[in-house]
Amino acid sequence: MVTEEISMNEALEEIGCEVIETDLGEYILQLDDHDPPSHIVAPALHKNKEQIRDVFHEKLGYLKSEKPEELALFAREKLREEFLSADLGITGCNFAVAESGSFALVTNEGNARMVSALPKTQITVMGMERIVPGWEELDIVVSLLTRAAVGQKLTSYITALSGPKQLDEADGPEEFHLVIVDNGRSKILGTEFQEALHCIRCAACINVCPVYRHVGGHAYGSIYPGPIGAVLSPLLSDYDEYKELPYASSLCGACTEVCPVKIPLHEQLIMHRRKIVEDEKRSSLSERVTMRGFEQLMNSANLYRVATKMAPIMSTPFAKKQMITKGPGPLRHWTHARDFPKPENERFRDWFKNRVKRGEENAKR
Amino acid sequence: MPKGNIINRESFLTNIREKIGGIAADKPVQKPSWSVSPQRNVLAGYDREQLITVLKEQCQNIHTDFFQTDLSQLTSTIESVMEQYQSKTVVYSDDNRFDKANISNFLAQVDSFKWDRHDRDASVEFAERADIGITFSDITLAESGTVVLLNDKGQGRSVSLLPANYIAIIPKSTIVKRMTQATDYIHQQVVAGEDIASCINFITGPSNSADIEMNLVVGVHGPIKAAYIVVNDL
Repeated sequence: MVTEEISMNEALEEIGCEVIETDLGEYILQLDDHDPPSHIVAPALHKNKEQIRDVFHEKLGYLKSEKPEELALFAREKLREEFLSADLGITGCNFAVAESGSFALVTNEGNARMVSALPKTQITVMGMERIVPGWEELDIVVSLLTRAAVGQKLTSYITALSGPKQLDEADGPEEFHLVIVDNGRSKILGTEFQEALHCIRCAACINVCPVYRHVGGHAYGSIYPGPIGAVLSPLLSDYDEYKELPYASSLCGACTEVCPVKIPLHEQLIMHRRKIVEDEKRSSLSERVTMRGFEQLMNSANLYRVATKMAPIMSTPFAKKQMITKGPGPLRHWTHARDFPKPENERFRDWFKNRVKRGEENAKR
Repeated sequence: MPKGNIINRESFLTNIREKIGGIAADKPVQKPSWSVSPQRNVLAGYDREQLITVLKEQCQNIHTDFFQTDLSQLTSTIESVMEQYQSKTVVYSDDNRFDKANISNFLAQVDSFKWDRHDRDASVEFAERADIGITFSDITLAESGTVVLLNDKGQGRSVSLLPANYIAIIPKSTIVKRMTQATDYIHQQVVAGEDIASCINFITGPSNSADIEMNLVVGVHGPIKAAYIVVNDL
């Protein structure tokens, strides 16, 4: 994940290295001319098994069926050769443990174990926020991650590495390098978005998000999709690139409810929207003019009274059967997508006043 | 353990200190004390027999074959698992528990290789072509069905990884409730200033993946089949 964030593969390929992804999903995407990932736990979620079979056939001469077992076995054999011959293994880092300088890799396929057992040199790339104080806390975050991400008590492999292999060991890297990546994280510290750094990348918010389910991961245009992607992407990069993402939410709050580390995701999306509109003034001119008008209207009792009295009369020419289907001016944007009910002739305030009066009359009888 | 070099440490930390509101560099970090620890209530009060039952049931969820035997029957149990997995060649850890359990003799009679901590190439090469890898479990977690291997010295990382089949021999005495007890043990080692194993593996059944249409495929890079053998009198 973090290696994609910093475009490490491209940089390595530019200096002439051959880079092979080893997670099954990532491997499929890499073979398919670097198709971008669409989910942070299952990156090739947008492909069906027939498409995967075709990618394997086209790129590697695969001749068997689209059965997931056969596809996986083929990838196992192909990647086994790569593991055994690679000079350098690169891993991410799910959690680092401060007290012993260890770091943990949480996988199901065993690729991270291969990468940390066979090549003679290992580089681990770690986002700076993935650190816990000690092993007792590692227990907590690993348990949260595996349950929230895939519903397993523990995944097949949790591998905790502490530096290179020792002299009396046969396998494992002889040389080990850890790279801690900031890349915009430290500028989130001390801000109202700091809690977003608690994210353990389980993708639970992505799985429940109604917007993600409709548009899919690619629509976000960021390697971090879904609610957490909509919060993080503008923070790690900027609003120039990602100012639309905080709006890719219905604010239903399902993400906040499911988050195992209790990041107030939908509230952070509202904070982004406030910053975009109020601090950065990035909304369109017509929106700003409309909102200014609305503000004045709502701040003046007289204006409000006149406007609500006028509304039923003014809207009559646009209404058919009490519905406005082609609204004028700013209302056009609304009626483009759905009908707008014609304002009632009796205003709520008048209705309420009359209701009280009727009640008093009834009581007198 | 040899010491490493740390580059850019001060500028990195100074930046963070400034961002979170000027914490003095010489002020020791105070770890908060947690007010609740639900992880310590899991399987509270279970004795070892009950934990074995939990482990056995969990094995069904993790596609792992479960066996329970006495030491006297261990060899024949291993033999029958090997037959079931159609395995002829064996790689196993350099671990004196194989002698203690009296299975070294049996392993010497089949096409086998004891992991050689001084010969990387031969060890990895044999592990790569072996049908089955056998190790002992150092700590066994009942809740999740996990064997913890403290991989260093003669306990090669590849033994439980490269062969298509894997057997973990689980001495009954190694069974604990959950990951909490394992991380407590490692934490205590760190507090006591001992070196911890360079690679600690928490292994829960065979490898798997759901990357193709979220279909579970058992057996990807690591073992395709796994068996746990609990030994009552070890």
